[in-house]
Amino acid sequence: MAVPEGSTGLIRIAKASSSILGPKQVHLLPCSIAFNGPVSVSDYFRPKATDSIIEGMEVMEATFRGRKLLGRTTELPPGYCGFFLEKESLHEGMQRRRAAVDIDAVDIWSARAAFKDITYWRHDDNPHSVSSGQKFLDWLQVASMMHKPVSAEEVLMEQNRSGNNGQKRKRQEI
Amino acid sequence: MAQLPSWASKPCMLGIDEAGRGPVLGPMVYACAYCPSSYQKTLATLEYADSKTLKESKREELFEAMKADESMGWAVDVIDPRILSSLMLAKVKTNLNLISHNSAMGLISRVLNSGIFVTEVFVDTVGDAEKYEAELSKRFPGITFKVAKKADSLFPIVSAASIAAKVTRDKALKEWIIEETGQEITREFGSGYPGDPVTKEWLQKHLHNVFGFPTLVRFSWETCKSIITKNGVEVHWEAEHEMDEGKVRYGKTVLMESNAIGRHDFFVKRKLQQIVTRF
Repeated sequence: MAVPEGSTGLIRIAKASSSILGPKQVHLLPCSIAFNGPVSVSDYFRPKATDSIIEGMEVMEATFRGRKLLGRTTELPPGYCGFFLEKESLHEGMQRRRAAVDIDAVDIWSARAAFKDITYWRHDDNPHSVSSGQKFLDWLQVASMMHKPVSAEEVLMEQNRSGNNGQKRKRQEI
Repeated sequence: MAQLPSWASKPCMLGIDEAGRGPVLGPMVYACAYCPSSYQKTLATLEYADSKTLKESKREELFEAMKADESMGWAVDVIDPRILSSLMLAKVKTNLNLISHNSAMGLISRVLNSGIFVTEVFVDTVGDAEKYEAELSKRFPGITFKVAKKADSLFPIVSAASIAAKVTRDKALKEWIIEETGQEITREFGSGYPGDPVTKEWLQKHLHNVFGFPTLVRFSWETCKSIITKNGVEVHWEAEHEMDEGKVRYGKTVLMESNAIGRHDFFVKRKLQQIVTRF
């Protein structure tokens, strides 16, 4: 059976520490651009500060393809660093596999740049935190709770709690 | 309008005209000129004519004379090409006629608020003349409106406004600071009219496949749209697309929103997708 794309892979971020590649700006636009590749963004995309403040954050203004965009910058939480990944070509990937880096890996991704914040833009509308572009950071909190080590006491407490509930239910049945 | 002229409380006439409505680049300028109605006869002797029939040097000379004339006043509204593009391509679009009407009405309000007793207004047609006149009369009761085709050649006060508008637009275009960097952006864009071969060639030469054009250009013009569609990268906007089970359709292309089928709603809503299971 073919392994579904994206299920197994390898991410190489060794080269991409922010000190080497320098922090880059990441803009999340309310459109999709049918283009992948390097473009000198700051030559044309020139955000400016506005006077307005939304939820305590400074609102920026920019235009893209004639549309007015409003955006704001969210810093990644402390301890996190973002990486811009690029999937290696099949040829590069094959060479690495031959070099026994990782035999099972289907995709090999390499970090090309690092970032510490994300600027999220909306067309004509104010960038509120409830919009999807902003909400993706929720995952970090969920993930950190999911992966938090569980102590033996906590397991015991949870067992006792469910045990008590069970007894209560029995009593009610009687 | 620092100091109110002595004739401010006398019945005044005001003319409105525009420059740069048709061009594919640069600002659109609305201007008004006004004077006491009693000055009308003198005004007719002052060589004000439709700005299109005058040479650039003559227009500039007449605009200077207008500024120095104590019996006249004027005001301009310069609408940046970025504003034109963003209004016409907004989620709730404003067409050029409405932008023009709002600009003209803004000028009238500005002059009235400054304390000039305007009783008559002369304006060139934009869209349907009758509807426009009715709209203006409703908004400014007490003012007599005359909306006419070629008002800029019929009424000297509108001619004066057309000169103020044209000189202001030419100056704005000359002094426009090109913000974009990277590739060289020339100023040899011709008249700016979409039919001008020099303008057309300039547009072709200054197309950026991702960003389109410098912000001097009005993206909402059909000429720009067709050049971008033909030679630029396709861009589609969240607000404009049709969702079809994760596929996004626009034009000839079908983009896959995601190839991770069966993601939990939490991730779909947050546009998150796992790309590897181990590091």
